[in-house]
Amino acid sequence: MKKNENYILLILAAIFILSGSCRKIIPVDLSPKDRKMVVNSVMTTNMVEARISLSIGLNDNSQSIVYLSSATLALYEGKTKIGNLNNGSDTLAGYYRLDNLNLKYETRYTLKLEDAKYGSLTATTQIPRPVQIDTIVQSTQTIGSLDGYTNETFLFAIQIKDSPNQDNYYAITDTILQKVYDYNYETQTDTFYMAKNVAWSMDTQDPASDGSVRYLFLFKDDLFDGKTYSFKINIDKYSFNDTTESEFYLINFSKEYYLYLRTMSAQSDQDNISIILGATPVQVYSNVEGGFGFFGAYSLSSKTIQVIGDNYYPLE
Amino acid sequence: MKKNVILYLLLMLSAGTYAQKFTISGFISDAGSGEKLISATVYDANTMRGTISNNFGFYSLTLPKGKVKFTVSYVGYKSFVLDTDLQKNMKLNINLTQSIELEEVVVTDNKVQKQVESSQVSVIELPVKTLNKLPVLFGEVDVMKTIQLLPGVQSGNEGTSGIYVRGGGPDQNLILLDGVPVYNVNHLFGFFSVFNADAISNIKLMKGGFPARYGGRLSSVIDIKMKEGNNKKFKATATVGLISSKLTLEGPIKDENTSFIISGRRTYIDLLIQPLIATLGATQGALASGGYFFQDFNAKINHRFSDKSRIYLSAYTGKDKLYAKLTELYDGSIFRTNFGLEWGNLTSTLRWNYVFNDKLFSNATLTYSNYTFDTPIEYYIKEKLFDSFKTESYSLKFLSGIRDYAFNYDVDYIPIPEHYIRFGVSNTYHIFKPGVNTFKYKSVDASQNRDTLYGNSNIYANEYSAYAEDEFSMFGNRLKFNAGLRFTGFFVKQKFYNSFEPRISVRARITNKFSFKLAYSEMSQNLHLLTSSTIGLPTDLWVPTTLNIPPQYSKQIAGGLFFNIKDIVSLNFEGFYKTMDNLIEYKDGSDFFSQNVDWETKVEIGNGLAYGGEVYIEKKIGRITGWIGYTLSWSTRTFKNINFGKPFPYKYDRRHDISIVATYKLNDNIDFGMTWVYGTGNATTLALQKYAVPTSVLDIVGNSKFDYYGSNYYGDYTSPSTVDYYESRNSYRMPAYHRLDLSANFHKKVKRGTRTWSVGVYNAYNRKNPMFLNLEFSQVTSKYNLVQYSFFPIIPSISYRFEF
Repeated sequence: MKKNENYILLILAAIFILSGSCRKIIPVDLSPKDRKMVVNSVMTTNMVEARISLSIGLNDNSQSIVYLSSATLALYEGKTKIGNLNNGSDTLAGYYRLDNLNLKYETRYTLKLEDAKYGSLTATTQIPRPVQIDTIVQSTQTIGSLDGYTNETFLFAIQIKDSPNQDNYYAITDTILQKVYDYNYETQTDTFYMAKNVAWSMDTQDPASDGSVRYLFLFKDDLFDGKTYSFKINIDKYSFNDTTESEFYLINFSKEYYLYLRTMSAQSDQDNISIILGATPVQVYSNVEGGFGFFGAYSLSSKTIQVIGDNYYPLE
Repeated sequence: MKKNVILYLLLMLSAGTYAQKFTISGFISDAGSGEKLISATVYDANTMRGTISNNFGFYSLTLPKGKVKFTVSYVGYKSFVLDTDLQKNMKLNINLTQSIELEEVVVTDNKVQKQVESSQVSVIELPVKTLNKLPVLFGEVDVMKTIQLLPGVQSGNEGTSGIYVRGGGPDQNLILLDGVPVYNVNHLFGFFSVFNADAISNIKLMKGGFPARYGGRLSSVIDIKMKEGNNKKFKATATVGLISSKLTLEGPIKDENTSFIISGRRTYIDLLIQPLIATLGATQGALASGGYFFQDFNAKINHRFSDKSRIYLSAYTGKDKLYAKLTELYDGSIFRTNFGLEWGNLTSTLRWNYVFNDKLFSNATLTYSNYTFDTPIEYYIKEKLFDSFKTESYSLKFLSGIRDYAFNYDVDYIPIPEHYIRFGVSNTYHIFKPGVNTFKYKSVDASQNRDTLYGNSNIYANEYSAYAEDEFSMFGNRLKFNAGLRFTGFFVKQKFYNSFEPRISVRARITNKFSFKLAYSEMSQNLHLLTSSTIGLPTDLWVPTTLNIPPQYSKQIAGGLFFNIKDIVSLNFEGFYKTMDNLIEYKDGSDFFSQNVDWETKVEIGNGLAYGGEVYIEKKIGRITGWIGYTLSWSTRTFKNINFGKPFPYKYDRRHDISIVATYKLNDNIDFGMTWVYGTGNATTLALQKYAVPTSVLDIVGNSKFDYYGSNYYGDYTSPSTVDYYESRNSYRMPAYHRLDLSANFHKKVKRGTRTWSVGVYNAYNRKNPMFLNLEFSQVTSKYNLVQYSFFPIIPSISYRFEF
């Protein structure tokens, strides 16, 4: 009998060991040797802006962002200097900007950053040529939800003509002219005004879709290189108050900007549990040599159509 | 040129046919159990011409007429020798009796020399007897964990049964149980494999130089044969262990022509922890039950119609089930939740062996295989509303799996000892279920009821193959070749893929005890395993080649030097170089649980490269037996959209991998086992820095027109967020893995049979090996720590086994 009791105890101990896990802190110096400079910069044909900061080591005493406002930041076309970006904002530390430019499409531009203490870095990109939206075809689609209910949405097929023999990186979004309520806390009154706001209830099942960032649907031309393609998005019909204007935007990103947005979005969406279970963490793309961040460019085109909405909130 | 080749082949086939010849053929079996002996050596000791028995114990040896010293040997058995004057064809079924292993050198089949003689490179046969002597986790003898101890084979994470052969993935191993592919070989998230060692007779691992008769996977073939069942006498084996018990019964039915074996295993963790769960539930005011178990059942029956004809029927079924039930009673209302995870395999084989004549053997096989993974979740609510009850129930179920129906026909033709020709065809019909969800809702109001099905639709595919190979020797057996060609076709969704895969291996015997081998093989694989976990989760999805996902393809060159040292120790040095195309991986940020239901949109296609060297020193004879294996290897992957197109180390890229395995037989009653393993730490990805990025798009400091209602309403977009900086994928190495296991087996003959007490210690020096690493912030030091989680500290085990 005693033997049996011991055996049962042994079994329970084994199960306890199986179900438990051992935790051990590995003595590793996690502080990076050097803080790197970080530049985040966006360029269009008429301006370039940037914000400069320092990276944060995992075990740095301060985990807050330190901006650099004393660095020299210049834009080059090849070896020709176009100009220095000005550190012109009193309220935004580390913010630099250069306006009134007339930059060329599909030409490589280089951003050079120099700082007396932290050294230098460079990044290169080019502004893609804008691609126009040819047509937008609206239809109604019934979509089933996971719980078995169905929902009617508007399906918009936005047709574009992709440029052949080059990789293009796109995003599409839609803004709707809507009545916007504004609550005044002081007077405790509602007022409203008309504004074009992004359609918040957008979705896409398009096969070319490559994820989304904020209210932009990202897609590449891998599936339709050089051909005409209709990218489809669904928008809840209740997003449209009435017969109203809807302006669709097509953004053509530089490869660098697109990869940055795609990976930044993917990293922020990834949860820690999946990493513990073995999924590999997402690396955020950087085209900055000698530091972190990105230097990206884009061009923009748009097309406005009239949409007959559901009159849920009629315009006044 | 073509004429010359034909002429040469005819000459080869007719070589030695000038003298009159006769054939000795038959089957080789164990005298005690009747089990067929695979790869037994059959030769004429006078001329040293010989062959080996095939997978069904059949042999055929054609010799010139006259005096022959016909000899059959097999490791651990007394040799059979027959001096005869060969004047006609002979049918000779041979029963070998087991030898006493204590003698330092017994007359045995010389397995050591066989390594030198064989034309195959990168092949290791694992003696099943050794399995029971080695120390194992929780005392559970595990075929896959023993295979992990061989050079060129890497284990996955701590304690798991996954194997990674020469830089390949876990899906690239063709694991055959009686000829049927087993898709999920894991129990308990990979800590145990599905193979019950008591029901297994033979295990062979191939890592390269694949003969044409094998195909369908890139990296390895693990050919596992089930026992046929003792046809001499009834025998039972029972084992009681810490977490499971096993029972095996085998014996003849009526006479020696028919025999059977059945073997079952079940864990009882669920039964033991049930009271704990109930107590825990009671403290929360709920009725709780739950647990986990796995079970296996093997069965095989065979019948010999005649010396020419034999039929086999075998089956395996195994299941894992994790379940939890929680019932809460509150003020007359009932809230009940059921949750489960269930997965398992069912395989079956109907096989017919037919000997057309003394040189022609055929094997026809019908197989069925089904793997399913199921996650049922159910909610039931009976809510009290004043005088009435409101009842409703929900159920959500995810189901995935793969089902195969296959037919194979294989022929062995042995015209003369210098040629062993094999050819065959096969057809497999696959049904892939990449994941279907069902949602049901039932309430009092019937109009609200729902019964919905959504997810990936089934994919149907047909896979064909045909092969031919010839193993032939030249120059008095100094040169030996195995040359073959395999054709594979795969028809899926109106798309047809096909490939011709050349296979060739050559062995040059430099001296009687030393040979050099070289092999080249191309392999294709029409199945992919989508896996995002490092442990053997059943959420891994088997998916086929499709219109967008091409077949995997590999090319491997392997070669080596093989030495026989005094017929006791074999010493092998091998090198390999392998390229792999069209591998798939989840895209960055995607995994099994991500929302997009179409799996094809979640994967990236890329390539792999693996190369390295292996050393294998094995001692098979004497009191001390075992092996030392060392692997030095590199394995990388390159995907266009992962790691920004730059090559990165494979997760299980392991620079150094060492195994030392030894058994020591003190006497007939006591033997000891020991294993020690060392491996470079697994590659992982860590972020040691972070940096600021803008929260808005198209500008750096907010005010984007594409933020909902602009920056004035929701949040301050002038404040950036931060992202983690990962230098490169898998650029950080976990601490090295090493572990010592010890065991002792105490045998005793008792009244009705033999009993064995086995005691063991897993991880004897209590090494905390890494399962995974996590960066955690300490509130005490206000610093991040790199924290390692380990699963298995020192674990003793004990089991009791009884045979009669």
